[in-house]
Order: sequence, then C-alpha cells, then structure tokens
Amino acid sequence: MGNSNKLISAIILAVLSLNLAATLGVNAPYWQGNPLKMYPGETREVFFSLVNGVNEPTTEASVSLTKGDDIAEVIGENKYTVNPGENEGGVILGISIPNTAEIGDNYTVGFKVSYIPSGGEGNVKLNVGYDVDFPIEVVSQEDASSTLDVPSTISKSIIYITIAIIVIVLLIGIIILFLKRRNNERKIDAVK
Amino acid sequence: MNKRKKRGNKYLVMVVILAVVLAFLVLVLVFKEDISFSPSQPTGVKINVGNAIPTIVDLQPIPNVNLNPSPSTTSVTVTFTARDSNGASDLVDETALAEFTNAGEQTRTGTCSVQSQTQKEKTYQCAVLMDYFDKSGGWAVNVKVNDTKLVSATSSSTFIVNLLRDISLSSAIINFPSAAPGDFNIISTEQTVITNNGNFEAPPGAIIVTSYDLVGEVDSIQNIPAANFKAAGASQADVCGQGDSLIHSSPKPIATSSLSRGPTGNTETLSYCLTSVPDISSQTYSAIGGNAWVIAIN
Repeated sequence: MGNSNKLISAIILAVLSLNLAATLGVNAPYWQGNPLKMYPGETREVFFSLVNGVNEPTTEASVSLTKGDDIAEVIGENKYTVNPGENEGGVILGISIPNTAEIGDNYTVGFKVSYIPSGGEGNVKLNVGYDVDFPIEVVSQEDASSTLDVPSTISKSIIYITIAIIVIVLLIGIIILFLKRRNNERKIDAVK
Repeated sequence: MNKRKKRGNKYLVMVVILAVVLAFLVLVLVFKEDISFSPSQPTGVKINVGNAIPTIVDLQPIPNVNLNPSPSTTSVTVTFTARDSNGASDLVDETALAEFTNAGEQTRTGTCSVQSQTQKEKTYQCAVLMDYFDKSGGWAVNVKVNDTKLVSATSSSTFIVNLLRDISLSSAIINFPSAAPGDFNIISTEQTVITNNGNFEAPPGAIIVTSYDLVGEVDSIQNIPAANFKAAGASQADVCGQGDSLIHSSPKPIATSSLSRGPTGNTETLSYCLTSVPDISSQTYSAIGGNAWVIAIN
C-alpha cells in the first residue's frame, strides 16, 4: 500500500447538482392507524394517487409489491408517467380477502414507489423511494370500509315526498277497486 | 246485499279518511316550516310574522382529500344548501362560510358563493384551502350562514385527508474529497437535505438508506464496499464514530434521523463518512445507475 501512495484521484468525484432529487409523492387513503377494513371473500380495488409538483418535470416512477402478494396485486402497468401538477389516479391495487379468512384476522399489504430523479451527475447518485405499507383488518360485511369515497345520503324531504306519493297511489288504487266492485254488484243486482 | 254494500261503504270511508290524514301528515312534515294554522275565529287579529330560523337542509359529503405537495395548497370544495321560510333572500350570502377543524391543527376557513337559488333555499359552494402539511385522518367540516336577523344555520360533517408522502432531496449527489488507500474517516463534502413536502411524519429510524458498493469506473472488479460508509442525521455530529454503518443492497434505518411536517422544521440533513479507504487502484469509484443509493421513507 505504501508505494501506491499516489492519491486515488477522486475516489468519488464531486459533482454538485442544483436540481432537487425528488419530484414525486404518493397519497395514500390507508396507513398504519387507519386500516382498510374488508370482509371475508371480498375483492376490491384501492387507489393511490401519484402526485407531482406543479414546477417539477415529468417524472417516471416504478411500482412493485413488497408485502401481501398472497392477497394483493398491482393492476395494470408497473411504470407510471406523472406530469407536473398531476394528483389523480396512479397505482391501483387489487385486493382479495380469502373466503376462509376470519373476522379479526389482519394482513399487511405494501408496495414501493421509486424513481430516478432527473439531473445531476456524480459518483453516488441518490434515488428516492416510498415504502407504502398499510394494514387490512378482516371485519364483518357491515363494518367494512365504504367502497365509495363518500357515503351516499338521501335527504329527508325525498323520503317524505316518496311516502306521500305512495299513500296517494294507494288511495287511488283503493277507490278504483271500490268503484269496480260496486259496478260489479250493480250488474249482479240488475241481473237478479 | 244492502248490508254488505253498507259495510263496504263504511270501509271505504274509513280507508279514505285514513289515507287523507296520512297524506296530510306527510305534507305537514315536508312543509312544516311553511305551514301556519290560522285562528278559528276570524276576528280582528293582528298577525305578526316572526323570523323563521334558517336551516341547512343539505351538506354534500366530501370525498377523501389528496393534498398537493409543497409549495402548493389544495382547494377543497364544500357544497351546502340553506333554507329560510322567510324566503331565500333572508339569507345573507356574505356570512356563508365553511371551516375545517382538527384538534391541534390550524383551522382552515373558506368563503362561499351562491351556486343556485330557489324561492326559499340557496345552495352555496365554498372553497377551503388546505396546506400540504395538514394532518392526515379525519377532519370536521362546519358550515354556517346567517339570516338578516343574525340567526345562524349550521351543520357539520367529517371527511378524510389522505397521507401524503413526498420528499425532495438537495442535492441528488453525494461527494467526497480525493483520498488515498489507508485514509480513514473522510466526511462527505455535501450533505443531503431532505425536505418534507407532505403531511407524513417520519419518526427516528423511518428514513432508510439503501446503499451499494462503489464500483471502479475503469476496473469494475475493484470497489469500495458500502459497509465502509456510515450515515447519520443532523442530531448526530460524529457521523464517523456514531453513524449507522451501511450495508450493500440492504435498507438501513438511520436511527438519528427523523422528519417532521409543517411549514418550518420539516427538514432533515444526512451526512456521510467513508470510514476507511481499502487498498485499491487509483481510479474513480461510483454508485450510479442500478447502483444508485436510495433514500426511502416508510
């Protein structure tokens, strides 16, 4: 080693990059402490939004499942192009809870989002990754998470008006029946 | 036969009366705010129409909110319908507002404008701006509008803010000064500043570095093992002594690093140390392409 004391020219060459390495994020509807609740035998798709800043370049991301491949799969492409300002769609996971699962069972599903940032040259390049893990609780069908983003609601007025219409229709029906019956009786009386 | 007829008529009368009463009750329920019963004696009575209390008859559910990363805000739309039996014009549009609350979080408030109007109802649409660091989980939404007598109609509901993981690195490259075989404890010339652009929080150890051996750019058989590097967060000044040793191709939690959310204090700085230079040839060594190191968060 002694004679080879010549400097190793730039073990790692310094090249500064002014670019930010990360331009992409992930919005998740479920996380530790906010589990997805599904019932035995249920299958559903869960959406995770890939988001890019408005001032950032278009970025390509790759997605791979890291946990729970016995019940989950990435639907569609594993590579995504996320445009500046985009914050919709993205990763879709298909999740199927086995029929044999029991209420109270727990699963963990996870996937990794990673990408190669734009710009910068040097000896150690840094990429960014997000480990998106979330728990799944097996519950009864009544307790399962809504498959909709928002619960649907019916206003009280609509219910009342519907009842009123039903009552009126019933009333008309009864009157028609009665008139028919009376006509029949009259005919019978006339025959007699 | 006449007896049967009479009985039938009786039933019909009873059914009709019942149905009429039912229909009347339902209509009273629907239009209860608008029905007032006149006095039975039409004598010289002065009728003073009082102020009817306005109500919120509909507050549209809010879908899960996907926040935009820093520096953007996210506009969340709230739609509600208010009713005033004195007439829709009795509602004061300037007082209509929507606010989001969550314990320990800054209240987010938005103003509203009239989207549509009927004789006694107004539908308002409000835009509430949320910040990238607003807490994930359940938020309460409260809406309100006053009438001309300053009587308020209020309603509330809840919605979910999704968890946004979004970090930026400055810079994307780690640099070291030139060194010779046998040198030790060489600190990187650049640190990595990680900025949290979302609402997640990384507790100590939740920032993970996956490293790879640095390979010779001329003679790729020679390398500097990833195990010769250490990394530490800003709270650990002695990265060469107390930093976490990295492992080739394995995620290594950096125990002394963490990341808060918020408009300030939302950064962490990683520093690196090459603890020893092995006996290797003079050339440039790098970890790029498939060997690029990965900064990850859970």
